Amino acid sequence: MKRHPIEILMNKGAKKKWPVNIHFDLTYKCNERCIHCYVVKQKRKELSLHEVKQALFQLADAHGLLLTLSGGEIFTREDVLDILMTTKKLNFRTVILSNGSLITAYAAKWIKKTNVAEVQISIYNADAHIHDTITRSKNSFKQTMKGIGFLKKEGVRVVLKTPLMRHTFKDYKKIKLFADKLGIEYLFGPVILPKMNFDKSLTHLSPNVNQLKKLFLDSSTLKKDLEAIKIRAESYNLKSNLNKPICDGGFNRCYISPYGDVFPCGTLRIKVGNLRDNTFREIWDHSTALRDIRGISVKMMEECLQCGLLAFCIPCPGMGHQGTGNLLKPYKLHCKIALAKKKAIEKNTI
Amino acid sequence: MSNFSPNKVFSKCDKIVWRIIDGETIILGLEDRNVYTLNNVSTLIWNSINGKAEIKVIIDKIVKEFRISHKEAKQDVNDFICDLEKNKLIASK
Repeated sequence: MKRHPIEILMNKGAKKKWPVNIHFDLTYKCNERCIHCYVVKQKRKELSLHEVKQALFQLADAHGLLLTLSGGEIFTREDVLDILMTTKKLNFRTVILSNGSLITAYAAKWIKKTNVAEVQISIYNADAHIHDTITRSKNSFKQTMKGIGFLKKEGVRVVLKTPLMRHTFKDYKKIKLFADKLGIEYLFGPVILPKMNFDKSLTHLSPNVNQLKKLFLDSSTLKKDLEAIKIRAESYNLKSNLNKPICDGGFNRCYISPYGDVFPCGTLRIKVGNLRDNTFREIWDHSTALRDIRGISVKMMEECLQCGLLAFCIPCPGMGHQGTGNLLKPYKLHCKIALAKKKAIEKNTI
Repeated sequence: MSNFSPNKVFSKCDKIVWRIIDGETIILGLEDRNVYTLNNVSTLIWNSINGKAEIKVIIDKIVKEFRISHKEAKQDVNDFICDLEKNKLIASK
């Protein structure tokens, strides 16, 4: 028996085109109305319980293993506990993304019973009033904390997830303290993405470069990031890497929408098939759109290759597509993260 | 060399997930970021660990499937089960 870090499985998956890492949005319905929400609902029927189960069977059969269930808010689905039973039966390592406000004592018990690895809960501020202002839902903080309490009581691993925003950035340390007090981990999201219909009207909510720099300087992973950057900088310069795929989207990861649409990943919003028309395997193995996306190599990202921030960045065709409509162009919102990282590292190493 | 009682029964731990891909078993812990891979002999043993099968039954299976001596199979099964138990992937019933 050999023991490896999970990255070995991801690399193997990328080489063999196993969709190891799946992000499945079960619904776009939500009980909150967050100011930064990127979801755009369509007038189409969402997958039924039977269709979701069928999709999960197909994904397991295609070697999917790491499953993230998200939305919308998955607990608005009455059948969500049935779905969790199926993910357990099919041996997925399941992570749930939720606002936590609909998680009851019964649901928490079920989450524990179905071996969910982790529940990531969105918290926007340690101050209840500010949180509720962002969710535009009265008492949402209180309800979310109740949900967290039920999960903790059952011994479910909980992680706080906070998309940082310009106007609330100053409070991020309070969120850290808040999470520490609760004895749970936290994650910060550095940008507010465009909506699913590419509307960029919300992206101004993203933190600015100086705020992100501060965040990175404060990060315990900065040293590790520096090592990764050195390796990355060298790898982009290698001629032998120029023909390699730019990322793992469509190789070892995929995204499924509540309508059954299949995408190469959660960021690249180019539909490559639909599970109501074809099986997952048919789409994954034969979609011409997916074949084209897999063909995007390092050398095709010409502008990124010449950029001074390249070593601090992971060029992303999905971000390019969302921001500019062109998969091969950099999106300035994404470049901002690289610039902040560069500034943080320079400041840290002077 | 580890030596379990031939009547001992093991179950797979709750805190793991696994897949058999191209004949190789991939086991993943729910609480860490480690992946364990098993070859075909280990996969057969792994598949036999079901909370019902006694170690002696698993050894017999290995002898039959891989045409090796009982002594050799016993050692392989015992060592592998010891390894699985050490890594908290299985537990005795």
